[in-house]
Amino acid sequence: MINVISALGKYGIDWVRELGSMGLFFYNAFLGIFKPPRKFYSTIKQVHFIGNKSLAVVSFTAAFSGMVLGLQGYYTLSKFGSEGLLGSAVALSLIRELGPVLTALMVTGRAGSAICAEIGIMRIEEQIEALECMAIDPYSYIIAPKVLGCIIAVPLLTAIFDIVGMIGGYAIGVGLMGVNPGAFIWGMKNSVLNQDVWMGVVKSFFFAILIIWICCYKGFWAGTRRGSFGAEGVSKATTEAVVLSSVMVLVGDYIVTSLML
Amino acid sequence: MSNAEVTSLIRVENVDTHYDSLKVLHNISFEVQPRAITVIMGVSGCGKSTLLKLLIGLKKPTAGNIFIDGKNLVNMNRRELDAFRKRIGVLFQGGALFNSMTVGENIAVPLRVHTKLSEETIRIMTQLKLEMVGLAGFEDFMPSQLSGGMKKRAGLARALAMDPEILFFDEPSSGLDPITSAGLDNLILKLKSAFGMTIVVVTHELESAFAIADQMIVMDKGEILAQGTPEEVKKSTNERVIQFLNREPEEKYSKDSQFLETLIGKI
Amino acid sequence: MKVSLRQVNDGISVIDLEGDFDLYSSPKAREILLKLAKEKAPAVVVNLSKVGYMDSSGIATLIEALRALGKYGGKLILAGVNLKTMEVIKLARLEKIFDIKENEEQALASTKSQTQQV
Repeated sequence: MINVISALGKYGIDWVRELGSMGLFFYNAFLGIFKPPRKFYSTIKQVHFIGNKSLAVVSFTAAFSGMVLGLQGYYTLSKFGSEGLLGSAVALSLIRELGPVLTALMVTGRAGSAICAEIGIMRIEEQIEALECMAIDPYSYIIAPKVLGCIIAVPLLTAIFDIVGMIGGYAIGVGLMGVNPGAFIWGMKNSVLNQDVWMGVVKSFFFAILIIWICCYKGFWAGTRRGSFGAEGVSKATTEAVVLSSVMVLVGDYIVTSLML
Repeated sequence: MSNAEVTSLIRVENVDTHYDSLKVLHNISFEVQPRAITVIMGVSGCGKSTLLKLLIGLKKPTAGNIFIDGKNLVNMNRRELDAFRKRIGVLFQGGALFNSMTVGENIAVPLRVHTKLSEETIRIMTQLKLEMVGLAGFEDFMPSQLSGGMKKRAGLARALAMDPEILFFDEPSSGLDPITSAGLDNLILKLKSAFGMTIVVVTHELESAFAIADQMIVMDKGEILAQGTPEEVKKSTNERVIQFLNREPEEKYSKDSQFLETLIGKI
Repeated sequence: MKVSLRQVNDGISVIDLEGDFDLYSSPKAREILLKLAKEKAPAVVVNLSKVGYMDSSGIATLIEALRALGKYGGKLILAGVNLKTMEVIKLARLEKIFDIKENEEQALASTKSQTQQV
């Protein structure tokens, strides 16, 4: 019995310690954005890295998500005789929910894991210590450009997701299921309001920060905790980063949605 | 940046340090002489790598002081620590090169961050450093294209980029064949004589140590067992030092009766 | 580091450097040397007698100047190199590349004999 309690207690303490550590990391990374050296080119490189790596998977996912929305939306709406509203259904679902969330999940799996692994390898090869010994702040030199790059790339990718998804939904709804094209487009234009777009934008920025925070943090401290040194530590960190980012995106999705409704 | 007389002197006083609750260094005291090569040696796990981390400010001691030119490393603020680090160069065990940059770009990193030197000046300096470490012409190679020995030399070129006063080497010979290792030893000696650099080397390779050391510090289990010139250390009467210098394996075998008991149980 | 430029007869320029010729002061010397090269100065003497410490950025600056001047046949001469600086030059194996004279008088004398030969 005592063992269960002490195990729970240890788990709780570790959890709080991890939270504090993440908070400190966020603080240092934030400060790092404003410290020298200049980050313009390195940020552009990161935007290219994150955007480029994720573009294909985001477009692909968007196309099929939009198409599925077209199918399922038609099926559901036809029960109420409201097939004409398919345009609204597809657009609102994508812009408010599926665009930001699915983009975030795809970016996490593709670019987030790559970034976590990259930083993790730097950690186990002592490259981060090397930077510190050269009087270069690793938060400013390595982390900050990635943070800025992600905050720029993810909302842009979300926008691409929305557009490709809507095209997919149109293709299925109008092309396959026979919904009136005029009705589809009119539905979209009419029901999407500013606040819907805002919700999508806020979510994409919020998710971008979550993803890069978690993935960079896990990579930064890879292999330094007991029980997982060296390459095994990097692999463990990457897995944890992807899982935690994905879960937090979904939790954050609920929070933002409920706050903005 | 200092001029004619290099006064860099490191003085370690009664330093203890822990990893969580485990004490890994006990009452360490010694001085690093300027313009000389100090070799810290001992078996794996003796605490020498931890000691190196303390000297470069990557870890704080739990007790004691480390004086650099009279200023206490333990109490330094960010700015003072940065100023200290701009005067030193550190070669980590694998070279610690940044994988996404070429060798040339790696060497240029501290110059690009800390100075306003022109691109051409940086390019020429990179070539000078590469020539110094025997890697001339490799500036456009990626780290993944280099052998282990070349990675170390590239890492050394980067450590030398800002013309440091003090150089720290973490196990420089590890993973190197005898010839490359001897080449590295010669380079270390050259750096001392031509640039008057103060050099601290952490190693467990006896031959290299005796080839380059002006001062030796032999450690075991977190304590200093012997220190002094190589001759003085060779004359040490400490049993563990003699064992280490003669490469005698440690007797880890238990008594016969104990061993048999563990195997078959009490008879 | 103090950098001052003066002209002597025959259009030879002499640059006097005083202090440490290092990472933070080399850009100043570089600017003046490259300007002289742009103006196609026939010969430049760099007076290092008051330089206490020169690091690899100083050497790199001198190499760049040597190249820039050499493009049109201009000459770069180092005068008053002290022992320490000489060791640094030797370690970089550049003692044969640079024209090094004991002091300013000898440096100027060597340029005169060269122009006389022409």
